[in-house]
Amino acid sequence: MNAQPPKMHGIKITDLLKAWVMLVSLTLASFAMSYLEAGFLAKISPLIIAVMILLKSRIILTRYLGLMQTSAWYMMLSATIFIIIVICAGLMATL
Amino acid sequence: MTQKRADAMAVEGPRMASKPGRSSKRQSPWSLEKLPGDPMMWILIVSEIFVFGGALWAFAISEMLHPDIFREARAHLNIPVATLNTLILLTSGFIAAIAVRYANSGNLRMTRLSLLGAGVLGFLFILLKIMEYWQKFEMGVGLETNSFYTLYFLVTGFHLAHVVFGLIILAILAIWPSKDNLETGTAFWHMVDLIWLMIFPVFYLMGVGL
Repeated sequence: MNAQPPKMHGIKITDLLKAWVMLVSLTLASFAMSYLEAGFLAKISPLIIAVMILLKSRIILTRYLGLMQTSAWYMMLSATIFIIIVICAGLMATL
Repeated sequence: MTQKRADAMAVEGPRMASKPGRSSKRQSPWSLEKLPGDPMMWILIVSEIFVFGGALWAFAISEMLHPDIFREARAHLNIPVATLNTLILLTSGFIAAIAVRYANSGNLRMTRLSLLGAGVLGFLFILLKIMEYWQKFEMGVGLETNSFYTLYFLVTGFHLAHVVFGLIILAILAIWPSKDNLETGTAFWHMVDLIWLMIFPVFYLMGVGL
């Protein structure tokens, strides 16, 4: 009889690999965004990069840290990161 | 020890039995018990996110106050090396996550090899970061050059200290790779990843095209 709660996040290695590919792609996309020299897209690049950070943090929270089963903790951590990054991006976009 | 507690230990183990009534009552959505690894690690993770978040706000506000200084200083940052470092840390986190899976399947050798791989990449991150700092020092840039570099060295240096500490944790995990140890230790390593994913774009990328 096993009375322990399901603490292990049962994610397959292939899912971890997909998460890693996604993280790498988003990082490279952010890197490419930083090379935009001028224009509207360059002006809003902090906000686009912020969205990429939020996507990446979501992947790490759910896939690597295993917060899929604990929605309250997931929501709290992702909301905290959202507030931190959106304020940073907002301040930089106003420059 | 009471008979009731002794019975609980026999069924649930000492850690679970230390929380009377946990199996009969409905758990709160904020229950620390549902989280992987030691609950105290999650207290640390939340507090670290707040600390680094405050530092990033200080950086963004400082950039608003001194936009010219920040624009000029950011032009000297090595973005390709920082991007490579990000990829290295992400890969290290991926391998650390794999180590937990190997531990669950009882493959001790692969668990230790995965932890070694994660550690080697962590070490590479440190080397590249030191190289980056060295370039700055050679340019005559230091902690007191301007507000950009003060925050740059403080925040990235504090993160680097976490990477060093994370490597020590990975080494401890390789020696004692129990399931609980691995979940707790790798959670710290993923937190180091997560924080770098916030630092890297804010310091290196966000203001470049502006």
